[in-house]
Amino acid sequence: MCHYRHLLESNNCYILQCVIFFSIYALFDYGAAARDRPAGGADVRIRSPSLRSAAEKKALREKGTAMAASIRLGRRSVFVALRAIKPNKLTAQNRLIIQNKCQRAAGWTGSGFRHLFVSPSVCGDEVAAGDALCEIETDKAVVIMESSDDGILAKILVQEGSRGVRLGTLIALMVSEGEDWKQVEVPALEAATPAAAPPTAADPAPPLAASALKQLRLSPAARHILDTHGLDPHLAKATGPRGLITKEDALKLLDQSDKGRPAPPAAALAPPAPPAPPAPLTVAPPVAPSTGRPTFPPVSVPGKPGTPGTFTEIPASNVRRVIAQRLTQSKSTIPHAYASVDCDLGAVMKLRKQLATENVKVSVNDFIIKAAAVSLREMPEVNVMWSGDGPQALDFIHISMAVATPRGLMTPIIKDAANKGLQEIAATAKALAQKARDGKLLPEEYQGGSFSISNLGMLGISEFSAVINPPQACILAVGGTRAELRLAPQSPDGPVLRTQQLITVTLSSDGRLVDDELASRFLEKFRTNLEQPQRAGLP
Amino acid sequence: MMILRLSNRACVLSRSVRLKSTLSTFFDEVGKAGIILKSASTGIFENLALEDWIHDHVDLQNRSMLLLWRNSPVVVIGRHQNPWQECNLPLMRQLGIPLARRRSGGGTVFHDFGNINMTFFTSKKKYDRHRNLKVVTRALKALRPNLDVAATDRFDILLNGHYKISGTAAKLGRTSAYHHCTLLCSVNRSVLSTVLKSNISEVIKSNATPSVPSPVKNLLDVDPTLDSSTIMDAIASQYNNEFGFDGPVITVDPTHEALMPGIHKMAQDLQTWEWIYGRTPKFSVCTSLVVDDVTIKFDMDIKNGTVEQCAIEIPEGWLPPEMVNEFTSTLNGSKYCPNETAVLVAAFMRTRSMTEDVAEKIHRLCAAVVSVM
Repeated sequence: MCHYRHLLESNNCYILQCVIFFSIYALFDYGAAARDRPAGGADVRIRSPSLRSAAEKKALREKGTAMAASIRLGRRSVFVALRAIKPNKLTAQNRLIIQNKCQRAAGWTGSGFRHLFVSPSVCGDEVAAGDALCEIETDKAVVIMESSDDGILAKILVQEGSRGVRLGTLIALMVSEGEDWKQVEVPALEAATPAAAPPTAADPAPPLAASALKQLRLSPAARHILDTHGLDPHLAKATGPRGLITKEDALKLLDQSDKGRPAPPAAALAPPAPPAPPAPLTVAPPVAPSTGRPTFPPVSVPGKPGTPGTFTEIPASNVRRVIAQRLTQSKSTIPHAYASVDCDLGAVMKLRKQLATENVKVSVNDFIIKAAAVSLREMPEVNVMWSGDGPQALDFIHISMAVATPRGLMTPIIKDAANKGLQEIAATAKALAQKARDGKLLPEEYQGGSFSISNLGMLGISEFSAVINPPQACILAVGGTRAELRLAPQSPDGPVLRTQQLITVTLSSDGRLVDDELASRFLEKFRTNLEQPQRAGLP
Repeated sequence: MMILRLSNRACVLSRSVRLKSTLSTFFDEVGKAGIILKSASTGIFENLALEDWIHDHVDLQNRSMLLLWRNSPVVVIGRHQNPWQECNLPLMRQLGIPLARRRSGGGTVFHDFGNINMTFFTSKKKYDRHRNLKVVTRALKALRPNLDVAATDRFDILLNGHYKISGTAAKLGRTSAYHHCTLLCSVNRSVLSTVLKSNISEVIKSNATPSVPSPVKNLLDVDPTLDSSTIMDAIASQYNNEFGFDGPVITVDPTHEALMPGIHKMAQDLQTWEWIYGRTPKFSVCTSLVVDDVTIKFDMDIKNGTVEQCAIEIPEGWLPPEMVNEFTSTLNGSKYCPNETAVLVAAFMRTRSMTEDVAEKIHRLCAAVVSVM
């Protein structure tokens, strides 16, 4: 024991404690003798505590906060999230959110979580950062989940040998050293259930101004915190002078919302919510279900400021990768020229109603396809393709229509659209759209079009411009219908105000093939064909 | 004084070792990015321990390795499997085929000398099972271009699109990972099919990872000129081709403790009853057996390989009920193992006085219980 002498003399008894602790463990076969644990469990070995520096240990003790860390599992890979739970109300925020992607191995099909093995007799054991906590089997591979921090394993919530454990499930709790692990409280679990909640379309959040019945006074720090995390200031309890929401209130709100409802609840606050956020079941987490990502640990949400310390990787499917590559190539190599025009859909609507009485179901999109095809037939100089160094006239008119599928934007082709009747176009379009959504399109059904049409009208878009699909020359972007009052000078009684159903179409064309002048003429012809369907030879 | 003879392709480590030198330092000295190892042992526990030792002790961040090994007949179950559900333990005891549990997941396989095992060690970043399987399929195709072998997305290799010739399992640790797979060259298929069919699978209710049974075929069946050593050489050279390595092929003796400190204990740990049987996820056995023209119902819950709870239902009057209660309480807490049960029952009978008739019945009851262990 001579080498311990100088330690005995030092003031700092912490080193002594842990060194002796360590040596005692070294003397015995760790675990096997002391506990009734199966010997040789090398896979779930909680190794002897790390020799932390005395300074660190002292610092931790002096902080005086109880930190309980909860260990969760995530999707496709295994997350370890450690969270601090304050058993006593302290104003100083002392939360520790650490996320680790424990496994990110190529080749995992993510076929689901199979087995969890945690050694059953390790409650109260010290765990060092990097120690193996448990084993998880999935997809024929056994993965070791490791602890990302030092501490004591307090409680195991999911039993060893469990199968089919879901994503984001809390499996164990850890406390930091020096804390009484027997007293750890199990955090509110109802918030932990992830995307099981049926995807609710995010309630369109009425602008805060509309729901604000009282004046909001935020301190700058509070405003920054609430903005960063996308929280509603209305939920914060103002404790500052004259109703000021202070930084502490904001932090408290942040902590509560993290505890009660892990996802930033910004958009889900349609009604002025009751002040205490932990009523998560009444306010569905708006974010995760629609994107299918787990709500805990907090993940970055598109459109919201990134929750600190997170990132999500969305692996690109093959389709998306190809789409990405082609779009980039198109936008960067083709000089896009844009031209827009408003078309009056009055005649089309009338015709459509008339056809409906005859039990023929056609949509506005079918009229547009037909009008475009006829216009191409009348102006063959627009029906071209870039052939490397100049225009190459095409002798067919095949219209590609853009269909949004879960896999990406696909463009099935309606062949020889100019010679097809409206009904035929309608039937073909419907069948192809369904096939696209099922992923059953054959290559000849989506390759080889001469002109593309993309219609976002049903999504409420008023107008937009699309990216050309090479090697085509143009793409027509169709917006939504809107009613407008316009002067109609053609009336015999003089100018009259009439309501017109208008749509805005934007033609993106390859400037090398279809320049602005040609595009304008084409659009004019298209508009005429659409506004006077009988002229275009439509039934 | 480590005497190393590094010839062109093969290298054998002799038993004299430089002080403080281990296999991992040897690899560092060799310096190549990809090393192929062959195990000199055919003992399953030694080979599994070798895998684990390499996984734990060799730095795989800048190096990958392939280990080729074969075993004498043995049944190997996956990490979270239930041996009673996966294989016919009484038959294996009869045939002298041992049981081993590996540390990686997946299903149950039968090994013998006609089966080649390959373990691909990489860092976690380079973990790519499909690429590893391509090494195997391309090696086979290079040997026999007409061979129809292809890997599936479940990481099996199918022959002629239908017969499984290889299965995969993997283990991912902190910084490195290994992926191992089998390859059926000339395995004894009749033994394989009888041994991998459990005698009591219907009566077991368990959460363990189930195996997916598949029809199998030997490569030898489609081409009698293919034998294991040819195939192993082909795989070794294809491994070098695929990953651009030019490392040597080194034979390793997994019993060489000085070279791999701790490996002996690893092998011992893998042979303990607690690991092989005790690691079975909780399951229950519920069956009724006919003993002496009476039907007896057994209902046992087994956790960690020991009987947690045992209930036996016998028809009235066949045996005195207190005797049955004492019998079941003897079984409670004991290992779910025929030897242990026999020992306990023998002790049970020795410590109680009973008529010969009752003794005989207890004997047969015991035999019935043991038949499901």
